[in-house]
Amino acid sequence: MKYILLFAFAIITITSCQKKTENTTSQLRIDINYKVDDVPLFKDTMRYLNNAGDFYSVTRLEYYISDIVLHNANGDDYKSEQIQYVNAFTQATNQLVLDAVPNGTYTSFSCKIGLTAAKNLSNTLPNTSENVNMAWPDMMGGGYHFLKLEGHIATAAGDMGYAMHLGTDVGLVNCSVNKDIVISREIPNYLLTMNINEWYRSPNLYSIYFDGNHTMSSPALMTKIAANGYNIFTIE
Amino acid sequence: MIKMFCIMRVSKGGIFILLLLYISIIILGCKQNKNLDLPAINTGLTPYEIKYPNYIPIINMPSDNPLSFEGVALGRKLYYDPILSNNGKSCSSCHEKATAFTTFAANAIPHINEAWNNVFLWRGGIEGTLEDAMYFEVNEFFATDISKLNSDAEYKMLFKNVYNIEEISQTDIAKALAQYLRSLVSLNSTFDQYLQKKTMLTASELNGLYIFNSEKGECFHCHSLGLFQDNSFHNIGIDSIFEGVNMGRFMVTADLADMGKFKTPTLRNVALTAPYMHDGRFQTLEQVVEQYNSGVKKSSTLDPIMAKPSFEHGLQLTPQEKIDLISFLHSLTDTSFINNANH
Ligand code: HEC
Ligand code: HEC
Repeated sequence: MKYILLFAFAIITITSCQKKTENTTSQLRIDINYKVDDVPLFKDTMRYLNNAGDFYSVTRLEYYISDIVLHNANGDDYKSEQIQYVNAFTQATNQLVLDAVPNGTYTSFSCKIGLTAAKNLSNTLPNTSENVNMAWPDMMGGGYHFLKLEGHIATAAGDMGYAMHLGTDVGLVNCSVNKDIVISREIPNYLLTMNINEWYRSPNLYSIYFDGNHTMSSPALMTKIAANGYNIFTIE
Repeated sequence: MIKMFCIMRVSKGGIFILLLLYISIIILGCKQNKNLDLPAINTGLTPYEIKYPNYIPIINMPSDNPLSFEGVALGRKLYYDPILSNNGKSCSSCHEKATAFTTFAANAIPHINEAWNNVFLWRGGIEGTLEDAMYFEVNEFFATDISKLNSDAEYKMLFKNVYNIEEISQTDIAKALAQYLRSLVSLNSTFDQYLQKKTMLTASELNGLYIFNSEKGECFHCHSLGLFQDNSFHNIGIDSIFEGVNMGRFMVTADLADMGKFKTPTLRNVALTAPYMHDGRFQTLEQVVEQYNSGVKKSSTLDPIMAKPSFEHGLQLTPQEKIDLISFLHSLTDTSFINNANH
């Protein structure tokens, strides 16, 4: 009797320390990449054409991504509190890792480029050497740049720079992708692709040359660009 | 633990107590051990801490070269000692403290807050940590003869104390120099005191800050508030034709897209670091401000920020606004930095 008891204890001892492996949630990795319609984005090469006819290059693409939501048909949305700084040309910043996403099938993905007013406060995000120049000056409303998209366009008078900067409430970009997304341990990652040409396409056809090559001081221009960001992403 | 149960004489009534004990052992025993990291070996060195406010980015401190008072002092001794070179020069022969360690002959970016840098030199010839930069100085620039240090009893003792080594290598010298340079922190200017609500700026300085930190002047886009630099390269339109040293980062990368780009220098202590720009072409801040106000030259690599209509057609600053911008730049002077006896 004593030995049976001891044996049972031993079994319990051994098994009790094992990690619980219930397969109800999974870690999801989203890799972000960039293209211009069908071609990949390369830094600093003057070779892209948007719908408004600008021939352009991209020298800088930095942004904050926040409010990531996976929408579920029965309303069980997965919401992430994560705020991530992304620099298109710095590989490590282009990996989003979402922990403990409940397994299942989601019907769409949404996120914001930028920060909602409550989170858009100066000196509140971790200040790293990479994102040091994302601050939006206090005298212009404070908080952070949501997006910095810079480069050059070709003009008759030679190359001219452009800087599409978004910030403050009017510059907040709501992004959405309708796509069935299956979360399970077998499918650990998805690819999120930003198509740069969408920034200039619809609903507001935007010409960098004619509409304006700098947006920062113009709420009207920021509003246009921000609206175009709605379907900037696709997911595979 | 199981053995313990065996030798115990278990009475029937005692079994419940035992069970309870057992369960609590299991529960306690299953707690994850969070203190697996061994405590840092006590080297007897005094840790040197760099304190900085929240408007300054987090420092990336290499784990294999922790700052200590002893390490910083060793680095400082090396910095001022011609033993490192073969021509009688020390680092300090060119980099002078009174001018925040810039050099007059060939205008260097001053040694201010280098702890936050990840690219060095005007053209970014060195990328990486301060240790990497110092290795370049010791190995390539000075071609330091380590036998001289290894036959110096005092240096042997000091290096043994800080790095626990018998033989001094160029890497060790670089590490010690990096510790010293990392200690050169300037975050106590009038402007810092203003941000920390310890002092007021004058009306002129305040207006200068407004111009600097808004679309009126656009300066903040590259000289980001805080470090006043961005670890990045820009063509700001001081030239439109690029020859010789003015080719900038192109000389390092051979990429035409880098033509005429230079590293953004910090503007901390800028009132002390004349002449200005990579080639020292401007003698005064008045000339620099006038360059930004009306002298921006176009070229295909001109920074997008500088292609704003306001730059192209001139910032249109009034004489008073130029004075204000310059008085703001003067508020970035940190006299405690250059008067610090430990530097
Ligand atoms: C002969 C004069 C001279 C001596 C001696 C000298 N330097 Fe320099 N140093 C310069 C010049 C000139 C530059 C700028 C070169 C450039 O940016 O391309 C420079 C740049 C630097 C920089 C880069 C600063 C930055 O942020 O870009 C560091 C760091 C530095 N020196 C450290 C040292 C150390 C340490 C020593 C001694 C081992 C030393 N220097 C000796 C002239 C000198
Ligand atoms: C597009 C980025 C950018 C902007 C905008 C910018 N700067 Fe600069 N600044 C630089 C770079 C890069 C250099 C070095 C250029 C060189 O040496 O050729 C520099 C150099 C300077 C220097 C000389 C510092 C030294 O130690 O030699 C001063 C002063 C200065 N800038 C002030 C300003 C002011 C004031 C403004 C706003 C009116 C401004 N900058 C806007 C990037 C910028």
